[in-house]
Amino acid sequence: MLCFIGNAAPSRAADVFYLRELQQRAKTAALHQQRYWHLLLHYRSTITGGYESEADEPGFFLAPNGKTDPQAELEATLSQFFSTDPVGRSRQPARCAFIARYQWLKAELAIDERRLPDERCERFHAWLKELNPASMTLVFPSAYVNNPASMFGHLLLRVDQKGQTEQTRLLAYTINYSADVTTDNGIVFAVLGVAGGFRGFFSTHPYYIKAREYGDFENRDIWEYRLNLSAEQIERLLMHTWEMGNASFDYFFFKENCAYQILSLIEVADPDIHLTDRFWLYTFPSDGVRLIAEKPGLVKQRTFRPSRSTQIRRGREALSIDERAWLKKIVSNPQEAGADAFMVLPAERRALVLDVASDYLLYRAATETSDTAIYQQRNKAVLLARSQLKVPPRPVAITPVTGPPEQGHDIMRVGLGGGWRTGEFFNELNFRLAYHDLLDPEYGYTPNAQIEALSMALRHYYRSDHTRIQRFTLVNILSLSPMNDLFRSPSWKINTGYETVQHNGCRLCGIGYLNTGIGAATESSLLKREVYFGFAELAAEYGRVFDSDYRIGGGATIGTLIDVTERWKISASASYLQFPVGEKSAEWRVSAQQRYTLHQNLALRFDFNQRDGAHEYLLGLQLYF
Amino acid sequence: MIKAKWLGIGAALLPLCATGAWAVNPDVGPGCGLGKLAWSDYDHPKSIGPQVMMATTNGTFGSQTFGISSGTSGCTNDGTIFAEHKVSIFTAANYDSLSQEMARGGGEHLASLAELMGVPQENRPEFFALAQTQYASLLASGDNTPAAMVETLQSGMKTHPNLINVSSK
Repeated sequence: MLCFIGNAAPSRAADVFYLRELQQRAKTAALHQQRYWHLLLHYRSTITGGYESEADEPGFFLAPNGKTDPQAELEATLSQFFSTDPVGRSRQPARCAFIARYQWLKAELAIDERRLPDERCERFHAWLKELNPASMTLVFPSAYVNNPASMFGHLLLRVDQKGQTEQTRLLAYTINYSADVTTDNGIVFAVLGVAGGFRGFFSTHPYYIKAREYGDFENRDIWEYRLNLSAEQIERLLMHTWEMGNASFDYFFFKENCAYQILSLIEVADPDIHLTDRFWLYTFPSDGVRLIAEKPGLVKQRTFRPSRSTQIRRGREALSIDERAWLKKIVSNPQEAGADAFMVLPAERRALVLDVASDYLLYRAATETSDTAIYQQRNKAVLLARSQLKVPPRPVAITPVTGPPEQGHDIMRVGLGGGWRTGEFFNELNFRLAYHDLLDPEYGYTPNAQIEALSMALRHYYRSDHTRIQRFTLVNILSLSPMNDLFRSPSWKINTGYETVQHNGCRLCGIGYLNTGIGAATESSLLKREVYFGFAELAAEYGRVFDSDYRIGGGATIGTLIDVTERWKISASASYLQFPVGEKSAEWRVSAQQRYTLHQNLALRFDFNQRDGAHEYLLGLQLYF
Repeated sequence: MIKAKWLGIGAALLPLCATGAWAVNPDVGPGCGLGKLAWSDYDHPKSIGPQVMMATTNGTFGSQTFGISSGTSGCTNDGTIFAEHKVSIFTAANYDSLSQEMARGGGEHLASLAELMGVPQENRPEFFALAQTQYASLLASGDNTPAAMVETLQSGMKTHPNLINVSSK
């Protein structure tokens, strides 16, 4: 296949002549240096001052050295335009396979149709007609901590159709970028994912497939942002999407991921918008939304699409205590829906109860591994009762459980503070690469989910004039799932890193630790919102400070998180751990923390920690950026 | 699922966004694969993992499949759905939601189905009411297939004075 690429010089003398002319004009105009050409080919400037494309499929380039040479690629592209031989993975003539390149060069070079006639590109036009584009919407399925592949959310585009309504947006096609995952081994998955070992492809599923996947199976709320793009910009974006049918990319979890590639399409729509060059280390989908939302006038409208579990929660909240009791009875025995005592309720209220019941039974059927047939069967009975009630379905407006992602705090955090630890003052400087802990301002983030990665605290102790790395967190994840009549998911946590302890007479001794636990949580709303949790946990610690250098054991933690007001949050917890393996020991740990939000990206923290006889108070200011 | 979760976390490395699918899917590749999603046992989703897998990796209909001859009926090589399959694919992919919305007499899935079946905007309320009435007979038929759902709706429309012309299209 490669043999004719780059050698596709036209044979007709007139073509040869015209090609040379076009190549010369392109060179004079330095088209290969233009941003739009770089966007279409996904070129990035390299450290050495050259260029390299992020695309990794040879068929995406028409010159053998096209990946690294924008000029050679442009010349080869012009040459290939004179041929109708199929190129790329999509096997079309170059003018169709790379239709965005062709349309741009045609305009820039004023290509004469008499000397190089247009191709008909029937496949492209049939595709475009089927998409029937009227506008574009950026879609953000929010973070879902219980699935490692989607802990930080996702980004895709939806091609809204002409004549589409709120009700029929499900029928629109989406543009999605995802990795072709070729392993089910978690370790291999992580290593290949970070190292770019998977290939990423674009695909165009109907929105109903994606809405079902995220909303019904993963129970992730979705935020939709209708973009303010002109018809011309939309056409450019879609022409380039069509070209992506010839491309694949090495998929890097942290940077060149879904968010990065989706943003690159928006840059093609409007080359004046700079999006992907804003990222250097990682691309969080929520950062992508933030970038889009902060461009003046780019977002026309924001829409919230609740997941099934949010619909159930909100539906249940709308019920009276008596109605909740019926709900509980009906989901375990749908025949209760025919009970006389239930039938005396107004039809509207019964419809509401049955609607929540059906959502709940489908939720169980979709999320459990066994008994799904039972839930399906019960759902049918509930729906049969519901179909007898000639009451319109409940209104669709459902309050989101948290704010839109672009209104959450920024992802990196730096903190400065001072404190006192067992008779000594200290200053602390801390930095966290990502992402959110339970005390950070919660607005815009999935509630009750904490993910911290690569966080470090540096301290200077005054009396001993000693500076040290106080702690380093590799990863610290905590997922609380408050239980109620309907929801019974466990809570879990895992935390590993390095910290400083006072132990066996050593005042400041570093240890490595791993702590993991499984537990339960519940919530109330006495003040604003309170969550209570308990964990059974395992702990392993390693350090010179221990006799025999390590200890392994387990114990329990109980705690609470209290939102006193919109800005003020308190957390308190107590743990008891016993270590029967290695150094035989036991200890109590108590901690109490408070946060006061000053601004979306600024918060005040006051922490108290007690552990193995060491007391510590820390007052600090935290800035998100 | 739980096992996969802990495995992933054990690796302590977190992907920043969804990555196709968590579990392996041996037959990623040619064809739009939607057929597998649509007519697989929608009635008994085993767990989130396989469902999502079917919905994403398997459902690779998209620009990814350009130029590869489609092994699955329902969609073109270029990732769009053939007109004559739209109703059946949509119904199969949204069977649960459509059942709910038939019983409730309205909703976005039912409205989208009405759109695909060519029900004019002004007849939608009648279509919704009809769907609600027809739910009991769909259940009574004992046939859980998407085809039966479409059939039930169409037979109801045939006897409805204002929808009869739609169903004959």
